[in-house]
Amino acid sequence: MPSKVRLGVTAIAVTAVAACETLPPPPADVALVQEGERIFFNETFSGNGRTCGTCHRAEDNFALSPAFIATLPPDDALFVSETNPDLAENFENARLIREFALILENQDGFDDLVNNFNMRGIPHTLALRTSIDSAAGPQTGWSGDGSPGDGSLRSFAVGAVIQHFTKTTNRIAGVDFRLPTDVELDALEAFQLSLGRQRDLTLPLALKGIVAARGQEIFIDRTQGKCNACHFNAGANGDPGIFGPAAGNLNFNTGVEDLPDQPADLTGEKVPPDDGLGTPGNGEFNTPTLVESADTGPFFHNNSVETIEGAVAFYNGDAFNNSPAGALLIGATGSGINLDATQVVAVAAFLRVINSLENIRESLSLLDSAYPDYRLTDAQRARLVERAGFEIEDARHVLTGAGLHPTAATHLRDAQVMVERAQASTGSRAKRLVGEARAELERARARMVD
Amino acid sequence: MKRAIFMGMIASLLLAGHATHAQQATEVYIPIGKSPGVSNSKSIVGAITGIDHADYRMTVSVGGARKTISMTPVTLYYLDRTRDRKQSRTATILDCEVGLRVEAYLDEAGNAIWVKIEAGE
Repeated sequence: MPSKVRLGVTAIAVTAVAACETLPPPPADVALVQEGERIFFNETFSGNGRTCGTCHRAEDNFALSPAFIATLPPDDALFVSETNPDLAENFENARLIREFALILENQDGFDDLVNNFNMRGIPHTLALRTSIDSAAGPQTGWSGDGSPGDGSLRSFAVGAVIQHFTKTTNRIAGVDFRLPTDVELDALEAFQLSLGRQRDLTLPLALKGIVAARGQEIFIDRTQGKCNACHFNAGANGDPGIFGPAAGNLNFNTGVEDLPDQPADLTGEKVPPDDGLGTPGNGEFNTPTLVESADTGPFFHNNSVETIEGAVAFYNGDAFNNSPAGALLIGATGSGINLDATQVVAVAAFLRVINSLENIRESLSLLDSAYPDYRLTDAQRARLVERAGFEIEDARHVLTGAGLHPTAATHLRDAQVMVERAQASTGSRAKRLVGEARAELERARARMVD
Repeated sequence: MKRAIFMGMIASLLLAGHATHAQQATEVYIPIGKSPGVSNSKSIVGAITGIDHADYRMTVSVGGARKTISMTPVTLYYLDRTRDRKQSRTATILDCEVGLRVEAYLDEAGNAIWVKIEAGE
């Protein structure tokens, strides 16, 4: 292996969270990943100015939230329907983008743009290596059917360019956009697969916080939370002990569409029912990974729930317990899910803590990638340190948002300060500051897990 | 025992009928020969030499060889007008005419999942 590639592979290698060991990921082609990153954030495919990174922001966990959208300038490509007259109608709903980060999708076809569309949130692109494989083939997007062609992650970008990058709603290849080449699709796939976790956790973790530890017990318990059945090890796959060893990622109709008082509906804007997988749809949506959930809200395919506590509480309600998935669970176990408020908060605390641990793991990995690989350009190193800073900020916010692990949060704040100082420094000073940030991250992690 | 019932019920009910899906909505705007992961590997491209609309069959000339393509009532049809720089659209089997260039994506049984028809002059 050439030294450059070997060093790069080492840089991308995963720093494992304690008790987080399954099969290692395959080695990555570093040059391909870097090219994929360039395309992801810069390539408009001769379209309306959007890139993949327009909606999947590195600063916002490769997703998009209303709070982040509120920071964007009016001429950001996200708002192209407000600036390009050819896209003023039937392309986006400006109000629903700005208030709820909902994007328009013509999941069931383009023959009736006025009436036939869905409004969906933007899923993050983290941990895709762990979350899209299934016995039935790859599952991409909110309903598992987000890609044209062979339905793979590699093909996803083609559908995204046609749906979201077009200059007009005529969507003529070679006129309104250009299609990605095979080389570009390979690079985009490699970059996306390199993001975030490369393997699943192995629960239970030796958590030190008593509330989060209790939440983990409820999460796993088949008579209480029952969460682990569909979110095995807090990931996106079904429990192999229930669904079989190769089941992988699954779709369910959990009744989210039946939730009353959904925020987008309350606006009075047109929001047609979303029928999920297939055309016509069967009401099923894809199971997302939970490790990354606490800092990637709002939740569910329609961004209908703002907080992680609310998302856990959803499974107590009529919408879930009367849904096909809920009925199945009741038939199989004799009861639905009925958690009291303290239990809801405990499960959410567990999800917050494992999210924070994942943020710490990822930030350590990014900092290790930035130093001591002297072959990186200054811009590449700065980008890695910047992304580490985003992760540390998220790690702290998901804890402080629920009053969890205040001492760990203090270490995370200190780590963030060190990273910010490193970003303003160069050479050995920057390297020393990164080392100090790294030490603070280790201290924070030690407060949360053995 | 209860666990076994739980496992069996969930597995059989949820996995039954599950099949690979792809977002076919955007497929309409992908020109003949450009469908990712399908064109050049899982599809046939050629000119229609015969069509039986009632029997859902057509013959296609592919590099001098003649191949028969079977469609089904759920096969999707797309009219590819990219060459003329016009908007492509969904179509029907009646748009399949002798002489037109087509691409057919076949399932494992050899039936067409979709057929793209290049619009005539």
